[in-house]
Amino acid sequence: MSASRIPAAVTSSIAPIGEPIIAARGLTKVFRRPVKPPGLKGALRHLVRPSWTDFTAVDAIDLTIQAGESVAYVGPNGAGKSTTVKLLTGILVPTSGEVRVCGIEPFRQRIANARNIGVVFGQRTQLWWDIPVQESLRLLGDIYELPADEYARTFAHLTEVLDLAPLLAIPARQLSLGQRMRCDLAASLLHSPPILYLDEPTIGLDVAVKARFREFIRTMHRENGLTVMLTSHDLGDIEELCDRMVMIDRGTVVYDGALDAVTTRFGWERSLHLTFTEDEPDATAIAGRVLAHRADVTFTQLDPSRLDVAFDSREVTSGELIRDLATHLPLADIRIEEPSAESIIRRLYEGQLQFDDPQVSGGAR
Amino acid sequence: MSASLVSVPTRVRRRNKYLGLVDSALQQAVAYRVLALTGIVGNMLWIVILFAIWRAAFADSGTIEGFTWPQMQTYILLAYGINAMVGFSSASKMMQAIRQGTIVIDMIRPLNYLGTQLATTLGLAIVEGVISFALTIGIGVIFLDMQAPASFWHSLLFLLSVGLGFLTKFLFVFCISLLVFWTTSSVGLNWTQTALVNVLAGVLIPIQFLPGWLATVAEWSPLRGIVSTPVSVYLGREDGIDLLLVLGLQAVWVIALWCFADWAWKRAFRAVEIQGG
Amino acid sequence: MEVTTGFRPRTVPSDASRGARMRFLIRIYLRLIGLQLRTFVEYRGDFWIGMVGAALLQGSSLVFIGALFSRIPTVGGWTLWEVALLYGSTLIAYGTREVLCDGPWMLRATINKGEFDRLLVRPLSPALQTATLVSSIHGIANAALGWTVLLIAAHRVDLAWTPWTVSWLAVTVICGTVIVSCVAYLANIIGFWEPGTSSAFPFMISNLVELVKFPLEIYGWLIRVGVTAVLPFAFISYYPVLVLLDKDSSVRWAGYLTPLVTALMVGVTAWLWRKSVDRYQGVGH
Repeated sequence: MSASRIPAAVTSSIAPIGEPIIAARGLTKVFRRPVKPPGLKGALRHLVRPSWTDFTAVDAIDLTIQAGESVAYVGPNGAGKSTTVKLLTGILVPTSGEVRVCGIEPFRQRIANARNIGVVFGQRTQLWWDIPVQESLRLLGDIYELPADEYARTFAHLTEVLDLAPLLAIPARQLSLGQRMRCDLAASLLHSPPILYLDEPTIGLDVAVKARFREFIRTMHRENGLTVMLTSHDLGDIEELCDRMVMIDRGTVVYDGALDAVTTRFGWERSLHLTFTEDEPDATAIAGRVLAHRADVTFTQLDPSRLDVAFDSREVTSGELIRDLATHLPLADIRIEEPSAESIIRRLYEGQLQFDDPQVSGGAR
Repeated sequence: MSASLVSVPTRVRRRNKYLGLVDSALQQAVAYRVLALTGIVGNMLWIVILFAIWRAAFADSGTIEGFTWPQMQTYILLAYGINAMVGFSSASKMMQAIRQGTIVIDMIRPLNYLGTQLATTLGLAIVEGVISFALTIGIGVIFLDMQAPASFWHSLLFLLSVGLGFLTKFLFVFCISLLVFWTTSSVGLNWTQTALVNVLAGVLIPIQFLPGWLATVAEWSPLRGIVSTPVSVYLGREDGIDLLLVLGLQAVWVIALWCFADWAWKRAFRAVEIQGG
Repeated sequence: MEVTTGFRPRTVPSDASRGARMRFLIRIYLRLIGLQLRTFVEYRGDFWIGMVGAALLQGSSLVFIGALFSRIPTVGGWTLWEVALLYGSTLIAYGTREVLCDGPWMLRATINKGEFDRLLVRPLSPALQTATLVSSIHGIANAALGWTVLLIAAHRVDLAWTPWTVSWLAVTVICGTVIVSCVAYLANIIGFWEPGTSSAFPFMISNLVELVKFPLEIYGWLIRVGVTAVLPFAFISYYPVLVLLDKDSSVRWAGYLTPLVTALMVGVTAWLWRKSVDRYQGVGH
């Protein structure tokens, strides 16, 4: 995936060079939950002698995002992703630490911050349910105090790019999920905010709609310098939209760097998918014998006519493997598979891969 | 409806199914016991208001329209308690069932829709109604000057009359709820039902107090059997022939309402089927 | 495609006066309320049955009052038409609130669905947005009935229409609506503190307004104190009507405090609201 190029002119017009658009330092959020034993006795006891337990959702994270970046914010469930986003959007107040978005503190100046951000919550629309989309948008234009000409221009632009014309007269409750998503995107960008937060935006969308969604975000990002922060479990979204990945686990940042680097660094896993000219039920045994001297090679035989060989490309090249196997197995077809960011990230979630590179920013634990 | 697939005598099977409905409604109601309780307590505000008003009224005169103060206290409590047996939530449930198309499921089951609703309402009434009833009697006996029934015989007939009153209210609400087929809002219908019962059944005030023409309407309406009849039996305002007549009238209305309700729901379902709704 | 003028941080010009902001908020509020009312008009049948049902329900207790007073001249020293004044003013306040500030009843549901966050992400106060979440158009029937009763009663008690009585009536109606709106917020704020569980508590609290349709003389001291000092419902009807009727009562002076009590109520409500939203936002931990 190529690194996107942000026109320098656009970047500099958004913020002074070097001044990040999102800056968090030591950002911490601790939730205090009451410990309530079950039953009536427990409820009474809690009334008399309450006890609390602290849960640190976000633990002193540092996060710096420059204007025009497109950042994926990933992590397993319960890692603190949505809490972080809520801290950035002003929904939650930090326990300690500092956070500034476009130079202002989101919770202290909630309304001013609200003017600078667009938020898309997946599956939860911000349109009003019973009125036509067009009126929802007009109402938002009023709420954001957009001058009439600016609203008209932005509205026309978004309607065209998102192909909203056939939807404008329809109330939100009658739209399909994909149609609602397009309208929600328009709603979130109507006031031309410099930052767009996307929280699980593509859940439930079908492939075609996802593709259009990604296309739209890419365009907005590339051509308008929109800063994008994406939280998603759809790693395809991440691969296509983001240059940079921040991974959070149990409240701390465990990785913060270019998405490419992840693939490069963990992309030493390869797979050879072999297809035979004729059935070879013993292929695993044969290959095992032939490659016994090679470490870190594993075989999976899906059926008598196919064999998958997984190997570490740091230890052995695909060429060497093919040479070794070709004389012992009736190879018809060979496919070499490199891992995608998706599979790598999934394995990071599952703890199979570790960060042990001292270059990792944010610190590995 | 359709023939049963199991070779069990249809009679027995149908009874079990009805009991099953009562049971499940009972369980549901018990599950929401906290909600039910707070709802009941909330509704008792009107008892407080009525009590306060009548106490002030009786401060000046010993008897009003043939009622003494203890009799009026008894009236207020019993009226509320009986009326609460088919409460706002029972009515809502009946109407919601229709709106949400639960009715389709009911139609497929080989049961009489009227019977189904009765069984469900009975389950709810047993929990909510018995609780409110017991609460009101308890309050009446402990805190207030509630009177005992006029005689043992009267108390028996009172219980019978309460049963008939329950059926009367159920059937009335049932018929009203069929109108949900043609509107979508059940809340407005529920208010209408409540308002009519409040006035014509004597819930808010004994129907003897109503202005001439309204009193006549109330005397001749079936709603009289919901509260006015049972409470007057309890208070012993009728004796001998009059007593039997008033109970008989109550019973006749129940039968008439049942027949009407039975006809009405079948008609309504057919009309909806034709519309394809 | 050229870069549009936006996509950069936006500041509202600092010379935007408070007056302008106020006007803006009122305008937005009216638009949001209008939005809710519109959806009702679309469901024709519902609209009428809701109106009729509400009117009938309130009408049934009016029948009660009429029937009661047909046998007794006064209750607690109040005649039929004096009680009708209480009834009317209560109904006006209640019905107007149903139209203008019914949103708080949706608060628990909004919080449980996670949609309160959406309110916090908009450049508008969440209190304003909460007020307009929903509107009950049948409130118009209640308010209209209330005005009818009030005006007929005023005629029957030979109330003189002087600038003083007219303005006092206006004060009463406005303060009454504000007080019940505050209680609507207070009753439903429990949604922030005990989310998830549904309870009849808000309903029970707001239902207490029924008490002040009748003169306080009939109640014991507990209720009198309750609707005067704890939940000042009595300032919707009883106390202001004492002033309006110039009634001979030892507490008539309290009637003149109605605007003050209303302001206090607003203050308490605003404070408790702020505390609740702060809690939601995790202030303090």
